Amino acid sequence: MESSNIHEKTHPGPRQYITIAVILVIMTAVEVGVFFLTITPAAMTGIILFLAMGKFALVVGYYMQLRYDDRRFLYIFAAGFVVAIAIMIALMALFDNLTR
Amino acid sequence: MAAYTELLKRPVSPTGVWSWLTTVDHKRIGLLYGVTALTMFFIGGIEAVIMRLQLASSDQTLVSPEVYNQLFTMHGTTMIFMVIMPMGAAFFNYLIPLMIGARDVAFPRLNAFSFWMFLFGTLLMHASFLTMSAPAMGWFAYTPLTSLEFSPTSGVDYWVLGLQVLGIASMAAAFNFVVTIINLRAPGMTLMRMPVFAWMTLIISFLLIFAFPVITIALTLLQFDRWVGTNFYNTAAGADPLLWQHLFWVFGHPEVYILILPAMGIVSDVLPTFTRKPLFGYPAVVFAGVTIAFMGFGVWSHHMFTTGMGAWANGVFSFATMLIALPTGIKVFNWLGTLWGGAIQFNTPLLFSIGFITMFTLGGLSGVMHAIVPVDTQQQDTYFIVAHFHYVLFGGSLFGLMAGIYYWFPKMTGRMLNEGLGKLNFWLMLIGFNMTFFPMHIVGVLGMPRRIYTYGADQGWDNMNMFMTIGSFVIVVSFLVFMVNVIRSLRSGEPAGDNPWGAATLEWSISSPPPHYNFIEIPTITSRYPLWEKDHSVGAAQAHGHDDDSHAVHMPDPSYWPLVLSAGITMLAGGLLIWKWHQILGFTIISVFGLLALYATYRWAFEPVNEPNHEEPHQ
Amino acid sequence: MAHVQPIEEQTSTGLNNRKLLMWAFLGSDCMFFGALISTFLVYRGRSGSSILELQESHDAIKDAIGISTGGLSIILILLGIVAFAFTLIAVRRGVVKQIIPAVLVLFAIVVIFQSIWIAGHQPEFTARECTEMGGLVLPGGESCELVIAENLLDIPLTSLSTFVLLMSSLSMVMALSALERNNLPGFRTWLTATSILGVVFLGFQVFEFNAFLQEGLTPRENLFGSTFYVLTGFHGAHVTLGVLWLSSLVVASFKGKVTQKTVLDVEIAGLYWHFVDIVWIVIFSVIYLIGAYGIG
Repeated sequence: MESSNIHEKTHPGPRQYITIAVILVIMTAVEVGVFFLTITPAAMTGIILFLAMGKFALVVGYYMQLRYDDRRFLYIFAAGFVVAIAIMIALMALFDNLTR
Repeated sequence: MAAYTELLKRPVSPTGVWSWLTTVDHKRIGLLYGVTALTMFFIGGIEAVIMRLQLASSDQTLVSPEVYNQLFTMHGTTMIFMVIMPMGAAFFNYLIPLMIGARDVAFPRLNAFSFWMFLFGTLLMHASFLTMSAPAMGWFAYTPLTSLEFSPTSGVDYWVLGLQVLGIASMAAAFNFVVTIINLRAPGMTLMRMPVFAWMTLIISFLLIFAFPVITIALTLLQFDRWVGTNFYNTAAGADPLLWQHLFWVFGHPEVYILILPAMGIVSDVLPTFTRKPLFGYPAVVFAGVTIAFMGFGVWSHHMFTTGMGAWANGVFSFATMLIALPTGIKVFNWLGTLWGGAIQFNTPLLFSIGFITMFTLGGLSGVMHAIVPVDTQQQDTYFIVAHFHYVLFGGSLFGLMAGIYYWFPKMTGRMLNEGLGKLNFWLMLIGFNMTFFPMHIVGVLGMPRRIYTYGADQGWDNMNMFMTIGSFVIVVSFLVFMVNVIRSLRSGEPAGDNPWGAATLEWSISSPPPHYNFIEIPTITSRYPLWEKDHSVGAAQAHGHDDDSHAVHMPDPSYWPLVLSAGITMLAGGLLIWKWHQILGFTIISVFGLLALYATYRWAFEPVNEPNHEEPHQ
Repeated sequence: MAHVQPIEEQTSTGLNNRKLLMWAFLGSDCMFFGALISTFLVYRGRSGSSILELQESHDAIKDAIGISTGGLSIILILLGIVAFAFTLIAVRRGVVKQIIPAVLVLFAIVVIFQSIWIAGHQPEFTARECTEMGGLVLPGGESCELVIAENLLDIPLTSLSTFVLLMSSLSMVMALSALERNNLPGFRTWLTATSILGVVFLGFQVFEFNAFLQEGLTPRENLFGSTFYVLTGFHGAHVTLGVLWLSSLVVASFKGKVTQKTVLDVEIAGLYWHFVDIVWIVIFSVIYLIGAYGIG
């Protein structure tokens, strides 16, 4: 959150944890709200995916402290994550899910 | 009560069989892997020879079609999962800590666990022979052939559960070696100073941890289909029969590199020793390996060109497949560059390495042919495919592994293998291999389909098949020579000394066989080839230095729990098999062994690496 | 005897072995879930209609969301009793902050009771209800043809369970933070809260599975059933394992085995727990929200 933390490489404290929890809850609420809005499926998909990525990043970055931790942990985790996402997209394309 | 506590007491310094059952020493585990893999190699080999006899001439009835199906399924499964993979595991278990200057792996008990899982998985899968219902659907088990409707016997069940257990074994080992290679390197042993074999082990460990989950899930879905009656592969309920194929090959193609990269690593370490010059283009070899691993996840559908994926998908995967030939080609040229201008000594390990390079290149070339979709469409499911993958797996992986055996046998046992017998072994194997598998290209193009159990005399394939069968017996003879060589050396082989080949890497700086603590003093590394340095300080410090200090090295204590946990997990799988036959009995077994596994996990988790009150015996 | 560090503590990168192992495992676990989610998405929209036996099936989902007054009152009474007990404990220890976990615990109890109560309240599934649900009573009058598919997903209920899991992640970092400051009672309370929230999440899942089963959706019924149960069940198995792990840490802390010195044990367990949470973030967004009405 505060820029000073990034330079000091310290763990976030309880206050930040709670702040992030509040943000996470609000983002979830927005997701559910968007779900109940009558907008086009494509727009809904886009917004929800964006919010989900944001929540994912918040938990990984702050709760799992990857933002403050050694880069190598990030690389090793990202390797699995990126391959998994790539294969998911490839499989959906192969089964015509993206265009159907 | 006293007896009870005695029974559960940690085996701090066991002897005899107990010392092997509770061992956490990476060298012993490596040897256990190696011996098990060689045993399985003979079983898989016998299966192959029976198939070759059946196919020797047309219209034979040596075995029934059903038995023939079981033979080729188990031959493929055995050779891939229970021979080549664990042989690679044998080498990296034994050698990695020695190569990177560590006293053991990062998680010694996890290492023991992975071996026992492998052994029990092997036993579980082979238990299917006892019920006369070995799996009979081919090693990649395409659905819906494997659904209950088309494979009602328990063969598929054994195969699925056996593979799950083997998968746990491989992943446990892979996690262990990722951490070991990243974290346990000696001072100065930067990543780019590691022997290439260590690099290749790191790469295949990553491949394993990212590829095996996919097959685990594919198998789990199949398990649910067969045990619970779900619809994952049930086409009647709208399922797509291609889902299994995709999931299987998402795993299956990285698996191909898991099988070949250890051999590439071995060859890259053998060549410098016998040419007396550093590996040509070390960084290129390493990055080619990394590139192969990364691209290995993006080419899987080239196994499925004939399934009607459409022009786009075929085109993309065809292109990616041709692209992956580039880093492979880079490696071949690096090996040739290493040989060029070297002071070559034609010892057996080098002969096998050259055999590897040539045979693998042939297999690689037919692989590039398969990347061309129209060509592949003609070759799909013919003996041409069989020829291709035997050239990469036998001519490639196995030749490389044989080079490794001849190269490191002196380190592991302290005795040399006989050079004369070794050369005889190599030439017989090379000739037998090409007699057996080269004609398969030709009969394949002539239209002989793979997996048929016989063929008509009018096809005109008789002579070539007889030739191939004779070739397979030449291979058998070559392995008998190998066995004679090994047994002779174990009994009365010439003592090897610390560094019989004048090699440059760290494992040769210590005695043969190495002491259980590996290094008296962890060496400091200053180059890629530490033993070829002028001052030779690494070797001197290790050689016969301070024996008094050896007791200060505190090694991890043996433990029962890896064995107990792996037995528990395997019996869970056994319980699932029994469940199908007798629900209550199956449920009882599952609960009892589930609790046992849980108990073992807790005991393991709270067991310190060293017993705090355990003093070394000599102190 | 010269003291030599145990093999675990010497590393060339300075990274801890076990933490590195956990991150590698999490990377690998992405592939497990990736394969499962792919299967779900690939099979989306392929579930046809199914035939239900009228006698065997029940309809509970409609009653599930609205809580009737009778059940609510029981829950409120229980809630009052437990809240009182927890407030007493918190005051006695003089730690007001610990009222927060107490409220979380209460929440857990409410949900569990609600689940049990609803599970015991299943009306008969009749021919009339079959038609009300848009089904077709087949000739003979003994079975109902029904389209069972994605529209079963109950978004409000799952939003609540998503909230529970998010809160468990919060209490997990609070537990870690408490242990880092050597506040052992705080650590225990927060970690217990995390475990209980995990159990509550599982309660939601049991409830959801139960409601779907009542609706006639079994894993065998259609592709949606197969993929849904196996995917969410696999996640539930992860949660169960996490609950076992975290509660073992609570127990171990009473034996003095978890202290400020071994904070890494808790951190690693926490990594696992947060991972289970982020997987749920993906499942909730992709399977529940987008899965119900998104692209396709």
